[in-house]
Amino acid sequence: MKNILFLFLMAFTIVACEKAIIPNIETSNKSVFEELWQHVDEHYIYFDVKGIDWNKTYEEYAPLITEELSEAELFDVCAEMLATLEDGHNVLQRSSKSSNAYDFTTGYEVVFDPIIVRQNYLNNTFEEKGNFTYGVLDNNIGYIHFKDFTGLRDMETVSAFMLDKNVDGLVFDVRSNGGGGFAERIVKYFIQAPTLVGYSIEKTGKGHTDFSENLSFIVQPDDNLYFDKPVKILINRGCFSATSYFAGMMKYLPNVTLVGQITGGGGGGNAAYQLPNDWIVKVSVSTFLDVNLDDIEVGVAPHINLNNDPEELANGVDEILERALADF
Amino acid sequence: MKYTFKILCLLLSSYVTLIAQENEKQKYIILEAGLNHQTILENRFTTNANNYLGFHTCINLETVKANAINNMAFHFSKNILSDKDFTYFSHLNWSVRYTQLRRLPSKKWKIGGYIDQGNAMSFSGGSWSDNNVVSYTFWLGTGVAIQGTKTVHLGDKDFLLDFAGSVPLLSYVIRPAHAHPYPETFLRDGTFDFTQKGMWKSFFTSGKWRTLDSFMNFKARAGVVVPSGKKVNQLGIHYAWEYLHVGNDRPVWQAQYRLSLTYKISR
Repeated sequence: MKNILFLFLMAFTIVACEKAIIPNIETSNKSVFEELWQHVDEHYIYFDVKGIDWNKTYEEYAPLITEELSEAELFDVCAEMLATLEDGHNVLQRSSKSSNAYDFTTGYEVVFDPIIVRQNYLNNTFEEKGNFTYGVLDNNIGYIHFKDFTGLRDMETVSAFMLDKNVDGLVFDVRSNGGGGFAERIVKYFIQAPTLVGYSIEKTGKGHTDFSENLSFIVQPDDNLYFDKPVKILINRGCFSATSYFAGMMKYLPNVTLVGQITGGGGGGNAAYQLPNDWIVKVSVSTFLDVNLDDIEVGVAPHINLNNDPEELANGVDEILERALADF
Repeated sequence: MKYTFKILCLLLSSYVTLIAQENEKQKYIILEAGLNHQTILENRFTTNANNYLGFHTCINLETVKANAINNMAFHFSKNILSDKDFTYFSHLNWSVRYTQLRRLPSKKWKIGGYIDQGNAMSFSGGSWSDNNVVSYTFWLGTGVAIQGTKTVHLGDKDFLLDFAGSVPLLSYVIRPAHAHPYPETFLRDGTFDFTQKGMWKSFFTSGKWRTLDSFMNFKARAGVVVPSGKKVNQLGIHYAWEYLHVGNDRPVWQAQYRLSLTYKISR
């Protein structure tokens, strides 16, 4: 009987053991900062691409951390440190309503107004389906404006429309499209055979250069629809993430020309992590290279580089679109 | 040396499993359900040990022989944490375990081995939308198990107290790659297949053999069955404590305790 009682006692005592055997992290300002820095150090993928000395960043910001800082002050310092990585996919969140992410348009002027195109170039004759606005421009050139990389299935309807109208070319306008996902689901309508469109690279370890090899990213063509006419893709600095992927994947297709500004990048796939004080930090842990091995994180450069003039746009002239049309 | 140790572990656990086989038998189904409390530190998502509350169920198919017990257990539990402002985690555990035990000369204790396949799966959600929303620990393992019983008399009734414990010796453990949920070999295939075709093959070849130092899946259980007398079907209450630890560059700690009602039915 004594043995059984001993076993029961042991089993119930063990209830509290997880506190002893599972590591418990402090929530002091210092430990939050240290954990943030460490997590970024072990996971962020672009230190080399961007030439960032993260140890130097630590030396710069660590002295600013004291236990006297309020939560808001600590957040500001940490967010500022994260922003030195200049990556729009890096986010620091301290609540559902308070977050901080790098503005990827910093240093650039984004000049675009989709209403101008609808009024002055489509003559208010257009259709809308989900995130797509589309119609036919003068000279029988199709126009598609895609404002967000979601609702990709609607592309099938839009593609069918263009084939039905037998357009002679296509302007695919993704300016100021902040991204979403699955760019390859649009690319598939512009290829006829399985096509290498770039390479994915994943972070595989804690070291700054612990990367997977370049993983070929091959897109399969759509079973039913194929658009083989000349395509002009309009881009600007407001293009981010999946939109940069799209531009990067399409850039080297033979019938495609990119017109406008360099995109805002956003090649990183980000992953989230909970810090000791329950804040969440997201950092880029993978990247994408185009077939020319250029990392799209730094932006996808256009074949024809120009920006709209704000005054001209105010007068109803979209110079990027006009340049694209002149190139057909 | 490490390889030899793994072989020895495998042979030892196979031996204690095999010696438990006998002929005469009684068959039971044991149904189990109850509440679960888990403390989990899944380092792929968080630096914190978060507390979860949920439920668990288990079905045991048991064959009792003169000097041995064979048990096949199917276990499932689900736990959710969403008590924070903008974080959400859910956690699933499931396992299938086959245990064979042989009665020791004292008759009170049985010792043997087990093989099991289990999965501890974590999901993040809410504001977490990102590329790493799932983490998993998948294992195929073998180890040693022990079980003890004692009948006590209280008033005019007999109560059966029982205790069981197990610890793994050798396990094949699959964890995701460093920062994404993909299995490691998926990132060595030379092609990133976004349709994820062929993912299962990569999954099953991404595991690592682990011994007790890097994969601990300790289980302890104590309970009382009332009344144990001569009734065929028995009702019991059991308390269990389990500890799972996977050591790698993104370690996992999971402590789980649960209280459950059990009902043993003679087949």
